[in-house]
Amino acid sequence: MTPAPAQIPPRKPARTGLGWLIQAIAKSPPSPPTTDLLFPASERHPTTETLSASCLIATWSLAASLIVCLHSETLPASLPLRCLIAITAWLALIHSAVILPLLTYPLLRLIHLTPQKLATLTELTFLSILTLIACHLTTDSSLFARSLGLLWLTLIMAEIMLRLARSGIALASHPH
Amino acid sequence: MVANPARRPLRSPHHPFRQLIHRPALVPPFPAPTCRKFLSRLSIYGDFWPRLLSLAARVTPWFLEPLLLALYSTLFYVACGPARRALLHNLQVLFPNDSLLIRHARALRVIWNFACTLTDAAHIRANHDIIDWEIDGLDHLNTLSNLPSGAVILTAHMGNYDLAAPLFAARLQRKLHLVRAPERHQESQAYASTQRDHMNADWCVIHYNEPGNMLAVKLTSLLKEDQIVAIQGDRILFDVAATTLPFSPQHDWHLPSGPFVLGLVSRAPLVPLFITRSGWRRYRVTAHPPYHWPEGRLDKATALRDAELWWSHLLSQTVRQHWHQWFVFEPAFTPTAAPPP
Repeated sequence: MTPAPAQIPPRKPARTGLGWLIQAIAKSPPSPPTTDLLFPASERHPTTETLSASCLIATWSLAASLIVCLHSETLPASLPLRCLIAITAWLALIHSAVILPLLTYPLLRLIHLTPQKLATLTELTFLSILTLIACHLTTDSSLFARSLGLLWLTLIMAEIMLRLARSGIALASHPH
Repeated sequence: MVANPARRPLRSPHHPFRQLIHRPALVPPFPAPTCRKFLSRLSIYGDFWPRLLSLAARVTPWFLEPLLLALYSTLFYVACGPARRALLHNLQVLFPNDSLLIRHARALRVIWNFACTLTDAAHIRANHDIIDWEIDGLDHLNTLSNLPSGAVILTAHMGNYDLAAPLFAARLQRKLHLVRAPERHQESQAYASTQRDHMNADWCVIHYNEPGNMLAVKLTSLLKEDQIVAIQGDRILFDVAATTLPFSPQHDWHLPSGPFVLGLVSRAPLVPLFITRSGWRRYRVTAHPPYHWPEGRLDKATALRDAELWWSHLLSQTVRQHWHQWFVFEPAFTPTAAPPP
């Protein structure tokens, strides 16, 4: 952790491809100096991007869970009960991204999986599950459900393409 | 006349029902104290939650962290009645014109900020270098590092002082003695102590203010050896000596008197230093000008009162500005006592 001059606050690199695109298009103005000294972290977390991604994933997964449970033919007919099951399933899905890696970590450690790699694996698995749910929604009879599924598929495809583009640009601009 | 044994009080060990309960055949499969001890570890002050947080911080996907923080902040806000009521009481004094709904929203924001600071601490313990530190008042901090004598750093229960202490100590290149209240739960204290020992550098030593450990004597001798002691000056926990000071025309508040007595005895300057969250994974350290004790012989009661009033004024300004990060979960204010007729 080395101090940096506070007059030029370092810009936090985006973590997602979509964030990277927005960051490239919208040039953020340098914020006025309010501090005397800055100790920047090595791992950067852009606030807006983190909160936006969390908000988007939370809202989308809750909506998808509600739609799946409301349209399910196997669940009881009671609407409040279906909503309750949907919210419980959503909470279980969110928590599974924390609990399952913790439970499986002792086993995964045997194949030399570090916590950082496990976090990346969890991230990818979670997004893959959401993509599978989105694929299921695109076959639904309701227009709203289809739109929701297509929205996720569009976002995830754009994200993959932009991450590839960012990696390509970084590789091309790397001095050999 | 022989007394009927069934008429003895139930608390008496000779009561027939208690004797019946203590028969070996009726003892539960695992002893009750162990079961209670296990359940107490799941309580709000237990060590289950910090342990879970430390593990979860390592594996939780970054985009789920704010969501889980929001969920658990709300859950704890609902579950922790005494802390919630104390927060609402304190916020009512700070913002008397707020509606009940707005006051609840403000209290929830305090819990959210507290959860964020705990999570950041868990990340740091997992060796994630994720925090941006800003420093305000660099001149005052430099003054502190150049002081030939010892000094008392006065701080408040805001931001993440556990994480800031090693940063200061490394920057000041002087040993920093941090005074903390122990955790309320035995297992939590053992766990927190191990974690802090792991995290702190050689420049930082933590002392726990436990009953009977003669900490005041130890701290006075440290100050006389020209070392720096950091103490929270805003919370009354356990049997800490308190002083009543005016907060507003209608309310007083109770602040610990120990730091001022310590400063007066050793004549060490008091350096106010606040740590606040300024964004996601970003903290600001604000150093204020130090308070120097008057030279020569002085009336101890007056000097003590002047220092306490100076701190009370500074702290009240900071608390009003950063109310959403003032993590005091006990009622801090009392109505001003009416003047004697």
